[in-house]
Amino acid sequence: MKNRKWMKKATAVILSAAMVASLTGCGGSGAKSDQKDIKELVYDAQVMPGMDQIKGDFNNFAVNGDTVYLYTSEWIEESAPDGEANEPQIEARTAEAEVTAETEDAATQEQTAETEDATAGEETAETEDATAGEETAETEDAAATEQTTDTEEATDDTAETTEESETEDGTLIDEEFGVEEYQYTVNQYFYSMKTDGSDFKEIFSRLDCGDSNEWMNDFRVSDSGNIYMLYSCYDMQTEKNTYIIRICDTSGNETGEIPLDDLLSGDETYFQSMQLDKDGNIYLLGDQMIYVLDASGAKLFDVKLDGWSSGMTVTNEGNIIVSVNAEDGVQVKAVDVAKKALGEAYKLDANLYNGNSLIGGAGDYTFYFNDGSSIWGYDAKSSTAKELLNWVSSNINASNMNNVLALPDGRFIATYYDYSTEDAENGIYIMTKVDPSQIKDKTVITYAGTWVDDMIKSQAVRFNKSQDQYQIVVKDYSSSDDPIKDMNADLIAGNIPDIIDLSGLNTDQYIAKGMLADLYTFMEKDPDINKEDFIDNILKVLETDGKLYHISPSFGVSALVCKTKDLGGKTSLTVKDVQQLEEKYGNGAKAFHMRSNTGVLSMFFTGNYDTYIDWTTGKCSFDSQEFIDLLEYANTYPNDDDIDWENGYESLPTGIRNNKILFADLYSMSMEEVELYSEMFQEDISFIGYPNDQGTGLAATIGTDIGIYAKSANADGAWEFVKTFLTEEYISGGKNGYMYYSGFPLRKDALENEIKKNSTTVAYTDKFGNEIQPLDSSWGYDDIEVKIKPLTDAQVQMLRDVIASVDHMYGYNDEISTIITEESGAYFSGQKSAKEVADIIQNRVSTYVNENR
Amino acid sequence: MKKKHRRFKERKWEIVLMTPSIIGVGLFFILPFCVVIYYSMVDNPLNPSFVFLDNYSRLFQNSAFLQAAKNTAVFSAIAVPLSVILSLGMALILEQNIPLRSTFRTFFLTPLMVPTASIVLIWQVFFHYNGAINEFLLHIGAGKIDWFKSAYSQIVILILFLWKNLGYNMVLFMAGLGQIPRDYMEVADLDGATGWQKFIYIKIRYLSPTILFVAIMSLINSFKVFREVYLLTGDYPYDTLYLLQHFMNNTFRALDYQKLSAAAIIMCLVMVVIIGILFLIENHFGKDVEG
Repeated sequence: MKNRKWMKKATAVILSAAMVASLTGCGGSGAKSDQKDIKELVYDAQVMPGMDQIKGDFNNFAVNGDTVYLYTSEWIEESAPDGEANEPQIEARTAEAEVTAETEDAATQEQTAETEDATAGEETAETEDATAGEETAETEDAAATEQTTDTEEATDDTAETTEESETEDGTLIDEEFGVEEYQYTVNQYFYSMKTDGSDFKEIFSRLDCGDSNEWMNDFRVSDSGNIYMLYSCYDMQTEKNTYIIRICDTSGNETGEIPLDDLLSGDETYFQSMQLDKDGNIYLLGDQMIYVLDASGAKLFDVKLDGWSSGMTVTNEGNIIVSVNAEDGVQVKAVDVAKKALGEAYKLDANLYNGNSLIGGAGDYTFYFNDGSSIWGYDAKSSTAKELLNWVSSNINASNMNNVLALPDGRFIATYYDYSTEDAENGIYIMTKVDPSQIKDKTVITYAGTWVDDMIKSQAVRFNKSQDQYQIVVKDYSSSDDPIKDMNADLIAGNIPDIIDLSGLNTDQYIAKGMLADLYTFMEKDPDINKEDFIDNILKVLETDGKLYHISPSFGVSALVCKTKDLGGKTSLTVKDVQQLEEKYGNGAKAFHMRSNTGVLSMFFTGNYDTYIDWTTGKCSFDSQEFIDLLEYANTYPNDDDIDWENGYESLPTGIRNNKILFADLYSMSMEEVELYSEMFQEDISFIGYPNDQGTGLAATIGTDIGIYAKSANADGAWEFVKTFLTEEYISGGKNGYMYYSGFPLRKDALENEIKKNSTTVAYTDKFGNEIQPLDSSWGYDDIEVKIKPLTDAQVQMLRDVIASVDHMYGYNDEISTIITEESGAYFSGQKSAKEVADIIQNRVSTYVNENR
Repeated sequence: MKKKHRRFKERKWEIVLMTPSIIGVGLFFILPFCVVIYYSMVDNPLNPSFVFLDNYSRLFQNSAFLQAAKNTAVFSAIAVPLSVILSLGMALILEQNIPLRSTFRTFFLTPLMVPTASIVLIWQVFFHYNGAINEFLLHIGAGKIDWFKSAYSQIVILILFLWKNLGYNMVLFMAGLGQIPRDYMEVADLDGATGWQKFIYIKIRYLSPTILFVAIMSLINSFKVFREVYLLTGDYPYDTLYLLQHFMNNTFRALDYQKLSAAAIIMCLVMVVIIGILFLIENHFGKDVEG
């Protein structure tokens, strides 16, 4: 009896202990990046040694073990030709591995990269002696060899025959546009080297290939040391691509070829990429198909994907995986050779947004992926992903990194191309993990947003490199399923970033909650950035109650363009005015071009929020006659589905000139549009805001929208970063010469720089050292071609007037617009009357307004 | 002293073994409740400053909240009694020996098993402006009715609620009826009691705990009807369908936790009062029959 009592107690104790223990499992797995975590994700990127020996620009590279194989091409622009077509010439030359050659060029016309037997009579092979002092070469028997060397071409003598027409003197003219075509020739080079730059070999080259329309799309190197190259050849007459795989060994000797003519059929017309698995099988990725061949080219099977794919790569065990854009998102699946089908999707939480995202496996991880912020390693056995490399924390500008591959020792290799600055060191970079203890401690400043533009990330990298005190850490929520919800959840939990990217968010909501700091307080203390630097009326539009809670380096202006005479002296038009104009012109004249009923309703409503909603009292007036009239007017436009963009498209310029269309509408205008529309309308034009009943002017839109958290512990550091977006140099584009953002700059001096650039009639050097040429381009719009020349004084004044007329922010409320669009559909389809629909809208929107008041 | 010590020794084990449950209840019920009270007394969750009962007074001036509260109260006031009475009636009928009794029982229980999404789909097919019922009305010459966007919307939701919940309540009542001692019924028969007298003086008395339970369950289920309404009509339905849960859902998304929490506390207090009253009524009617 007593025993049983003790047993019961013991059982109860064990159960309770188990329950308590399970509570410990309730710990959050959410990674809150702190200083220690960030240091684990830092890699150092260095240019791979040996880059200076490479000719041409990178097209592709592959890695096998510790050897990197590179494919480059060089486009040489030549002067106008003498009209002579090239004779087929192939130069066969042999060379040793470490050869660098500078010779005169040999032109080739045939599609083969290797030389063929000279006696066959199809090509002439020539050997040329190396010029003394510039080349060392080892000759072998010319007839036996199938190896070619690289040469550097001479530029003046050779010419390319193109498909364009030739004038009598041989200058080639493009038939479609009637402008002189540039002459060019292309050289292709193939190299191999170890990752430390040693054992550099030039495997082969193909010179002067522009004629042949043959291009190497992709190549892989097998474990047995053969190089498989996928070539496509475009036939101008049939307008089709034919494909062939050429195989050669690592000395460049061709060992075989596999024609792929029979493989493509139906909708599949091209191969995107090629992979080899551990058994040497060849995988070709089409649009929605994978074709599998064995090593000799015999077809094994093909697999249909349930969506399109752009990412196919190989795992660390040599199996092929593919990322498929299916209906419910991107999935990564392996190709099961035994089952001749795709396996189960790997359990992945992240969003792979493009083909570049999937990275082949090596070392410890099955595969890797890039979510835009970091590289993660995925282990298929445990279905877990580990964050390995954070781009911003490693001070790497990820948007310039492409073709990332993993090396077996945990390093990464990628090509880096930065076109924006001249002093960028482009090439192949190897990224090595940095020992966390070696990393200096810096004050961390978090920058978070539901989607962080690459420009912001590049600027963060620049800022981090430029000083030692602060480290910007970017938290980009775009890789989660519901970015806004996740960001709000973090905010509520107290993980509030120092800098908030408000793009795409309801900024008023955060301002109302006192979350954002008044940026004027920072400007007052800052000697470099002042309130007076910025365009006054635009700054006023960004203010709330006299305080500036958010800012952007640039802004756009939403406008309608119309004939000045149609305004009748007014500065804005009401809805009734627009209707009266249509009646005045008659003949089926419509105000707007290719707009649907919902589009017109939405446009009018966006300009007229205040007419129908009084936020202070909560009263709405959608059941008023004005709104019903608006509905009835919008109904004179067709349904979305009834607009035939392909066959029913009418040219806007023609419509305007025939008075069939009265307005052009611009969401975000630029300087050149003044010229375009002046030419299009052929008379004096005016820019006005969307039709409204209060006489308001034009609306400003902003893209990048940045705010600083009101209670940030590092507000000063946050301001140091934010202000880098607000300098004249940044907004004007600095050494690039062009602005990063569209629209107009917020700074007065940057605006003047832009105006000067667009109106100058003589070339000059701007204050950043850029050579500025007078505008001389053209803009094709539907069936007109407008020459874009420097703006006249009158046009510049028009622009200034447009900017000065901006008096409010473009207002768009998702919820209200959804309700209006949903309900108005019933009226537009004829099921309910305008009054009934207006009453329902009144009812529903009133609920929304009162709830949020 | 010895007695106290011995009692403590006995109690010691009870306390130790209850600790995990207490921790669980504290962590998952009491603590969140305190957090809600905290949120209801600050002005916003991101930059909080204490405003005491300000949120409550503002809430009573918010017409959206008042509309939602009114709709919820009206719906519950109609749906709960109907649900109790109709399911009791059904239980009494199915208690008799009628043919196909068990088939009917299964039939009435099946709506509970249908997933909400399917129910919503069917209801839309029937009650949509271009749905089956309006087609029928047109056919017989009557005009179309906008079921979801007019005053009729509450009727549609009421029908949905009753259809879904009557079966479950009916089963609960049948179980309750089965527990009434046969002896009392026989004695009543012998004494010449009418069916109505038997029902009022015996059955209701014995069913009073069941009626209380069914009433509370129906009350809770009447709030859950928000799920179907939300799937049918979205975030901002026609005002007659705008329930308290809509208000809370929307204010949650807009990060207006203070409004949401204040509304939740008010609702909690109202529920406590209602259930308190129900308990008192049950106590009065059922005291004779409870042990």
